[in-house]
Parts: sequence; structure tokens; C-alpha cells
Amino acid sequence: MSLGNTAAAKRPVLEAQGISKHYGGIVALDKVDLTLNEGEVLAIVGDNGAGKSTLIKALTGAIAKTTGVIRFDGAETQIDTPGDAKTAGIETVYQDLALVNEISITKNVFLGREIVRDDWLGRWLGVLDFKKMDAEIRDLFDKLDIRIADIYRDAEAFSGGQRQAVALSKTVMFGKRVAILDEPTAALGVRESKMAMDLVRSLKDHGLSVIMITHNMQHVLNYCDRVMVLRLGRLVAVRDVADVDGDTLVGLITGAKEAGAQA
Amino acid sequence: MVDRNESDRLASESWLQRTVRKPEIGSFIVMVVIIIALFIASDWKAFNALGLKNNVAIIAQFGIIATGAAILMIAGEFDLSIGSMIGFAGMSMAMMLKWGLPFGMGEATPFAAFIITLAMTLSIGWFIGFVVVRSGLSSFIVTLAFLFLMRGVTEVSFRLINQSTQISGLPDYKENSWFANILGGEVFGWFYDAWYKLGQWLTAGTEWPARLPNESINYLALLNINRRLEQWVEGFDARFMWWLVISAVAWFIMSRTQLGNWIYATGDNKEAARANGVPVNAVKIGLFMFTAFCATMFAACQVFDTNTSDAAKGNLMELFAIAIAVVGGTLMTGGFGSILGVVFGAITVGLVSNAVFFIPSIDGAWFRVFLGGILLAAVFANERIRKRITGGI
Repeated sequence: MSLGNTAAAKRPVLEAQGISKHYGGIVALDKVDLTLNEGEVLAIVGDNGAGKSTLIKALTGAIAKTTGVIRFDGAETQIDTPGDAKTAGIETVYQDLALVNEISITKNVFLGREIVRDDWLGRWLGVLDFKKMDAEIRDLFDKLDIRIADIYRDAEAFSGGQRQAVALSKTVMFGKRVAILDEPTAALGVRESKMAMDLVRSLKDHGLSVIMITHNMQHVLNYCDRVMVLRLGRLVAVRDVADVDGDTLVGLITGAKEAGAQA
Repeated sequence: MVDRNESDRLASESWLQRTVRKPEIGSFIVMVVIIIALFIASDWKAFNALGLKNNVAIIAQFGIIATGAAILMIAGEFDLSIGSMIGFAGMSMAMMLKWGLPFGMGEATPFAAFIITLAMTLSIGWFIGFVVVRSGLSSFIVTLAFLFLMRGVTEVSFRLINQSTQISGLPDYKENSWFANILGGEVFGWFYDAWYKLGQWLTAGTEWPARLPNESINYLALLNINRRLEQWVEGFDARFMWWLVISAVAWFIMSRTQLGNWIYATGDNKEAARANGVPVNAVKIGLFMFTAFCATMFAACQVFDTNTSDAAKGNLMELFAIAIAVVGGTLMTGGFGSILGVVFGAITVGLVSNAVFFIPSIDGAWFRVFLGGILLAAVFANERIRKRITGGI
């Protein structure tokens, strides 16, 4: 039984149809369709300027799309702001914008969604419940096997791999359904990349479906279920990873190979 | 080989390392040095009953505006309009007290004058913040414009309505209005009462000559006893209390609340904060309003204390506020700083600016030389501390 059949049998979580983004006369994204199935890791690949980042920003409401419809669990959903996406259960980790350097790991993970005390101090003054946040983080890090000794230290003090692990852990903490990752291994060394990708793979076990932008073909082949290829703002192919090899993917990305979009 | 994990590199720190990493440590050391130096140089006069009151008065003044300036700097913005805002608020309050409420609404009570002024300054603060976040221009330029603009408006209003750029001889509102009294009156009388009681107890049984020699007067001054052997000083200026309140609230917000977390994040990495759902623009606008509030409190304490106002009030105060924030360990680039550090910075700069009154042998202008030196020293110290924090890895 091929991976393609199992993926097709799964229920789609997130569907996007005809997503376009025009900047004046420039078409950054031209009627791209995307389907993310329950529990899969979907890779988005393409050269610089192919529209990968534009696509995920349009999906998460970080930019306003020109046209297109987004369905979540089969129902049409308005996602116009990053807040809408978060409410729907989509959590995004951007390449450079994941963590704030000079606040602690705890405060970073909860930034924007801090747990306040369950009394009038919390409700009226926004007084933080550090105990509860710390406890939740320790649980989370245990669950994901992230080893960080001192969660009170500023994020700046940690290595690239640890920082990425913390950023990814936020998707498990808050992303109820979908995690969108923008080049999670961009700045990491070989061993750290492997750690991060293992973590991405394990997000499935926590009920998340993953969309991931990457430039690393090895990561696509080793860790993803399906891959979609963008070129110059257009969707050129969607393949099961089991059906492609590295050369084919590179060919699709550069345009040396042409293919109709198919899953 | 033992399996060595990444987290082992950051296992734990000693007490000393943790202390050295605190942003306020540099300003604390500078403050202690200044206090000791002033004790010696002023022959203890800077800390006798009246000396302490006068020093605390100027420290509190600086501290109030520096708290606003520092939190705004932590959020990554500047406000150069603080000094002009002080002048504007003082003008507005004194003018209403002298000439009545606007649009012929009758005589102004201190409370009405304060509230109407506060509404105006908060609106201006909101507008400054709005212009900064909407235009994306540097807050340095926008608030520089407001520095000129509001100083000009203050002076023009004085000339148009009052014919002169100062108001003096207002009635002493403190005597009849509780509200004027909590702004311009005296507080913590129990402290000076206790000090006097202690002085009486220490000097009990001493036979003083009818005409006290200078050494005895200096000695009694340290015990809050005047040359007629009565209680000398009754209490601190009310602004001391306001400084404590504002600092305590600011400390609480910055270290214990969601808003504090958002302020640090906004100044450190605005885009990351925004991506994580922090309402970055609202935070900044709110903080411009907070600096306007601090400037208004500064002006209100001044007006109700002295019952005067003039167009030059608050001149250069924006630069003092920023200097104190920097001496206190706040980074110009945002995202880093502490309220406790600002308290230390205010004490340091306040003492230095007052020192010339207690050391009569030196020229008053030395104050600026010292302040410049301390500012430079503080910046270098903070930079070293920062490198120690970040340079380890």
C-alpha cells in the first residue's frame, strides 16, 4: 500500500483554493490551491521568489490575500488577521520572528498569550501566574524531550537549536490543529537540524498537521509526507514524497521538468 | 564518552553571576559612591534634616519623569517633549487657577484645573504616539517637533491671556484644598517627628548655651533640631510620595504583569512581538501617554508647592529624564532596563545636581561636568555588563 492512498483516505484539515496575492502589477501568488490532510507533514519547496512565504502569510492572515477561499475542517473560514488564524488553531513559527531575545524562555513561549492569575489581580491588572506557566512549560518540554535546564534565562543565552526547539514547542502548546513552519532549520547546524526535524516529525503525535517551507531536499524526502512545488508564484506540482526523488524535485523547482499538478 | 547535552553548557549560575547580570547593579554602585562622596564633601550637611528633604525633593522630581522616559525607552521609543509638556501643564493649571476655567465655566478648583490639564496632556501624548506608530518616523524627530511646538504654545498662551510669561502670587491652595495639599503639601511627617523625638532623646539633659556655636547648630541639624531647639523640618515634599507610588506601580507592571512582558518584547523585537500577537502600537501609544502623565504630575507638584508658574518651567528636563534612564541601566536600543535601576539613577543624578548647594566652595557649573562624566561612566559600565551577559556563548 502506497503512502499516496493513505494520505488520500485522510480527512483534509485545511484547504485553500485560488489563493492570489497581487502587489500592484506584480503577481506574487497566482491562484494556488493547497490541501493539508490530518496528521501529515506537507512541504512547500521552491526557489527564492517562488511565493512560499507569501503563501503562508496569506494563509495565516499576516498579509491580505487578493483572492481565495480558506476552508477549515470543510467549513469556509475568514482568516484576515494573525489573530484569526490563532483562534482557528493555526500556529505559525516564522524564521526570524520566533523568539524575543531579552525575555525569559517562559515569557517567550507565552508571549501574547500569558496566563494570568485566576483572581481579581489577574482579571483586572493582568498579573501573571508564573507558577502555572512554569509548570506548563516543564510539562511541555518533558513531553517533547526538549532539554533546557534554566527556563528563567533570557532566550538570547541559548543555542540556535534550543531556540528553534522552544519556538516549535509553541505550536504544541497553542496550535490546536495546524503548525506552519517557515524554514525551521535555516540557521542550524547538521546535528541541530536533525533534532529540529525529529521534533517536527513528532508534532504529528500531538495532533498537529504541519506545513513546512524548506530548501533542504533531504529533509523533504526524509521527514515529509507530501510536497508541493511553487515556481514564480504558481503551483507546479504536488507529489507524494514516496513517488519523487531529489533530482525530480530540483527539476520541478528550477523548471527543467514540467508536470501537471497532481497529488 | 559521556553523553554531553547542550543544556549542560548553561547548567546553573552562582549567586555572584546572577547579581552581576542584573541591569541595576552598575547604577547601584555609582549611587553608593556618590552618596559616600557627598557625605564626606558636604561635611554631613547634605543629609541633615533639611538637606535630606531638599535632596529628596529634587530626586523625586527627576524620578517621576525618568520613570516614564525609561519605560518608553524599554519599549524602544524616545520622548523629547517631556520638558515642554511640563511647561505646558504648569501653564495650563496656573492659568486656570488665575483666570478661571475655559469658556467662562467659572472659577477653577485645584482639582478641576488638574483634571482638565491631565485630559489635555494625555490627549497630546496619545497624538504623539499615534503620529509615531502611524508614520513610522523616528520618535526622536516627532517628539523634537513637539518639544518646540509645545514650548511655543505655552509661551504664546501666556502672552495672549496673561500678558506676561509668568504667574506668581496665586493663593496658597494647600491650606483649603485637600487635593492641592496631596500634590504640593508635605508627607511622611511621622518620619521627621520620629527623627526629632530621637534627637530630643539623644540630647536630653544637655545644657545648651544661650547663643549656640556653629558646631552645635550643625550637630543639632543632624538631629532635626533647629537653633531655637524646636523641631526643624516637618515632612517631605508630597512629590516624594508620588515618586514612590509611580515607581512602585511601574516596577509591579514591568515585572509582574502581562503588560510589562509586552513592553519588553515590543522594545526588544517589535516584529516578533507583533507576530506573537502583542498589540505593539497600542503599547507604544499608551507609553507616550504615560510620559505625558508623569510630566503632568511633575508640573502639578511644582505648581501647588510654589503657587507659581512660568513659561520656562521644565526646560531641558527631557534630557535629564533620558540621562537618568541611561544611568539607571536602560538601553537606548530598547528591550532592556529596570525600574529599580532608574530609582538608583534618579538618586545619583539628583544628589549630583544638588551637591553644589552643600559644597559652597565649588562653582555651580561643575554639576554639568560631573553629570556628563557619570553618564559616560554609566554607559560604559552598562555595556560591560551586557557583554558579560551575552558574551558568554
